[in-house]
Amino acid sequence: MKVDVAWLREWCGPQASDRALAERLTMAGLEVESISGGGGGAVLELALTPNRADCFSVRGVAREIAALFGASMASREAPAVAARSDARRELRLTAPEGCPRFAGRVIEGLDAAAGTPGFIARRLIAAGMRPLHLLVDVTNYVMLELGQPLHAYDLDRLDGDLCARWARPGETLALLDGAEMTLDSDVLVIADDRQAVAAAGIMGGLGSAIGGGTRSVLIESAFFAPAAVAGRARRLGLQTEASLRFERGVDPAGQVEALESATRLIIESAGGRAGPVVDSVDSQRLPRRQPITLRRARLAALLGLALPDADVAAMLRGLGMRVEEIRAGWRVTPPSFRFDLDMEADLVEEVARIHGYGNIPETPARWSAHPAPATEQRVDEDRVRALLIDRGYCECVNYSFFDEETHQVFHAGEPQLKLANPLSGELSVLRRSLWPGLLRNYRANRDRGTPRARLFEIGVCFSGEPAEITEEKWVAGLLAGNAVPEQWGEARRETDFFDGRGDVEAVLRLSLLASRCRFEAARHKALRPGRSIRILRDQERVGWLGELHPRLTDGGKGTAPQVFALRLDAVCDSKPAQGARISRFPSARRDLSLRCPRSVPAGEMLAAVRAHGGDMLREVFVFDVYESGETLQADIKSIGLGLIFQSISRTLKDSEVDDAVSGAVSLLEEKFGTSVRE
Amino acid sequence: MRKALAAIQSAAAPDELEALRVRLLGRKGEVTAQLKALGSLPAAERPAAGKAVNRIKKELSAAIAERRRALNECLLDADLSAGGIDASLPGRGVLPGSEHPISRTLRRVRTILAGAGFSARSGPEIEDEFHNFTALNMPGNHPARDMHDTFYLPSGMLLRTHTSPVQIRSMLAEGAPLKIISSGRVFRRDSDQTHTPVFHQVEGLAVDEGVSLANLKSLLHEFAERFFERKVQVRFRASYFPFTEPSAEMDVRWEDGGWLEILGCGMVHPQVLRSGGLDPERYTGYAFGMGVERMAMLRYGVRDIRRLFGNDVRFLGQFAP
Repeated sequence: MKVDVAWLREWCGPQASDRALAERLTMAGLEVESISGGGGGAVLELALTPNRADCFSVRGVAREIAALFGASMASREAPAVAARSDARRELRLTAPEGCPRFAGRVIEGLDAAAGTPGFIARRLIAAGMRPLHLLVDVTNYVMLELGQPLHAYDLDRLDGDLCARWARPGETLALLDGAEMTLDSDVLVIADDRQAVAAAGIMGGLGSAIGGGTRSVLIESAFFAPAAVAGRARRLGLQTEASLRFERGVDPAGQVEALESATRLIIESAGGRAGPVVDSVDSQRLPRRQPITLRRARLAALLGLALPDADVAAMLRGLGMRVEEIRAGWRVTPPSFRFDLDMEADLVEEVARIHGYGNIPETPARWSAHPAPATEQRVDEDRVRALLIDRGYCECVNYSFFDEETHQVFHAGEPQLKLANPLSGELSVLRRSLWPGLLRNYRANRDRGTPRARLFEIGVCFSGEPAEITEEKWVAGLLAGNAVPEQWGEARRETDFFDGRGDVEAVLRLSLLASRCRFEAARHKALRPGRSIRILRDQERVGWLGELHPRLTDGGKGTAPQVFALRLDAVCDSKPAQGARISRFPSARRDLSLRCPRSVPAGEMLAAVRAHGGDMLREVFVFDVYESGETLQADIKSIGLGLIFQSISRTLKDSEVDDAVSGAVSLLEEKFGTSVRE
Repeated sequence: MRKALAAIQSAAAPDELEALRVRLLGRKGEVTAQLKALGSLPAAERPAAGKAVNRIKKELSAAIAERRRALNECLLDADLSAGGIDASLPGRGVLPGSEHPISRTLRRVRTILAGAGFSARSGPEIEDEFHNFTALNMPGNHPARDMHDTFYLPSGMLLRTHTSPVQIRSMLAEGAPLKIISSGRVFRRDSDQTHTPVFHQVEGLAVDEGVSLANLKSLLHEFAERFFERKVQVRFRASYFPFTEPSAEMDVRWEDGGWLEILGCGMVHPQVLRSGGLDPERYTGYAFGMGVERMAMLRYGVRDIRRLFGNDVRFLGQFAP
């Protein structure tokens, strides 16, 4: 909200510079975003918080200044304008829960050609409003000054009396801005005998609007309950100066004063005869400020500061409150315009604000001696992050939604989890995986000249059905380009599946329960068949690893990226290590060179040897694989297995080790059709 | 004797040294000759003279051995140096990548606050009206909801607009006393130069008997100094949040003399304590929250928030692993 400083000073003018005013207002919660102009024409731009409805006017801000500077308010009661005609309209409270006070007044015989006085036009412009027509400008001027929105109807275009009632089902209203609105039945309207003529507290109707020929006017000055206005304007897409004020709350005692002020300004410019003030009130339904008890002890406890009683009472009185001293503290009745004060904590804030937050001490809390947890039952997410970073990865952060097409490409067949009100089509579906984001990041970086990629992201992905969405945290990575950054010392090699697998194994190995994980060949829509595996932990599916399907990699440009994804909460539980005895006896190594059909998975051979090996076999590993070569047939591969034997309690005899090796050889022969290469 | 020692010291090669040894100590060497000549001395002088010659022999032997070691060392060194490499070439392998500045900032905030006894909690990104709004004193048509443009799902659930729902969940689950931080993604239906529809918040909540605004001020001032790693001047301005009362914003005095808002805070609203199942007469609490992107931008001099979501490795690579 913009406030003309000179106007403000007409209401309250402490001896302080504009800058000092701005500073105090800012510190007290009325943030001054800027001071523009200067030399008498200064304008403050205030960022009002939604609780301070009472400051939505020049007078409201002036009251705040008076309280902050201990200054007094100028006496500017608008004198009543006596009625000079009998012309009146009845104003009925048909929906008193929404409109408990409806005041208004007719003015007839106006000079239709009268223009807006210069000072009004200037102040409207300073506030960011455009002068339009004397009658409209006066209502706006009074609203800016006193905070009470008014509405001017062309009397000749109204049919009979007015009432405030809820809209009828399907009722429509052509608004001032030309739009035709169909109103829901929870929208309060002002209606004449025939139809709705205004959306109450939001905007007037076109049919009764002031125009160039208006000679008689009805000024409406009402109190609409915040609950009857709040949310409607936003729903209709019509936030107006009036709706902003009504939904936060206007002073329920200020209707007649605003009406008198407007009457006087109109008659001064356009002549005319005012009718009597009609003021329909349902006083039972008008908000009434209840006294609030502020306990001295509570005030001191919440602030961490004990203030002298007299100071507290003076601060509250300065804010227009009625203060009565009681034994525990004070009984405080806020003024009618303070909608934000209805409990003790609210008064504590008022005292803190006026005393100044800067004057409250900084007191360290009493020391709390609880030891911090340092769990080994779970791998910390930061540890996973650090591991990937140390292995050369850059961490990415992508939005949580993408477009429908991306969903189709990666997750065809799974239901789309759509937002009801997306910002755009590109951001309309919740992500089921992190790969689309990483793929987009890879492409963008490659096109900017960085073809080697090690990218990862940790974030929540969504799964399930639209009615029942599950959230899970995943870590996913993408690898592409050279296996290591191009350099002199290592042969150039494209990143392949096993680079990705190495990184996945490293992440899994952070948990001491990693041995529960298995890898099995499985198909995934986004992965190339024959180069994709699923990761299981016990029977639970916890991740994927593979080469992106060529369909997704805009054909031809280098080899396809490798990707992986792991469900973080499923792979992070761990346990403390258990130190076991280390053998002090020598170990024996035997190497096996085997031929076997290409289709035999090496992983199964390893598992079989391990399972068969007993206590003596400490370790078995693949030290070599040939899949093609002059001497080998196309469907045969050659595998080298290294076996290391060791006992915890004795030196093994050669014969025992030889027996164990031949046992392994015959097992492999029987199970996988392998033969020992000569 | 002195001459002999000098000759040993200046022998430049093992051959030369060996020749010297033979000349001095060999069977026909000078020292050997002296030993042989002992027999011609009177018996009374023999022991003393013998002692002297043997001492000379011992000293020369030691000098020759020492010189041989030195010469061999030189030879080995020359030999090894000939097989040297160009050590100026860079090393093999992979250098570390980089941590995203948002993660880094979150981690630092958590670490700093962990020292003050706060421990991390998390909550769902898909929330319901109750936890995101109602329990936080923002019912139905509350005007503060204007600042929370919300993404809804067809089921009526929503994407959380702040991390504050975690406060409610934690109070309900754990009761008081409670000192927690919650952090993570939040969502608002807003996208322009200074807003992204996805951003991150981190917030803290302390509830106990006798917690005061003065405690909050102390904690946050110290927090700012730890975060920026320098003495900072801070100021607390009155503000408004539906879930705290009194409410404030904390500004930090920047190098250019201006004030920069870094976080919002306040004493937990009694209604929020009640929503969390706690008795506001017994317990008081404070809460504070900040935008992680903003903190990262201030700390690392990033001007455009959208950079943080661009995932350009030239940008990301500037940050430490």
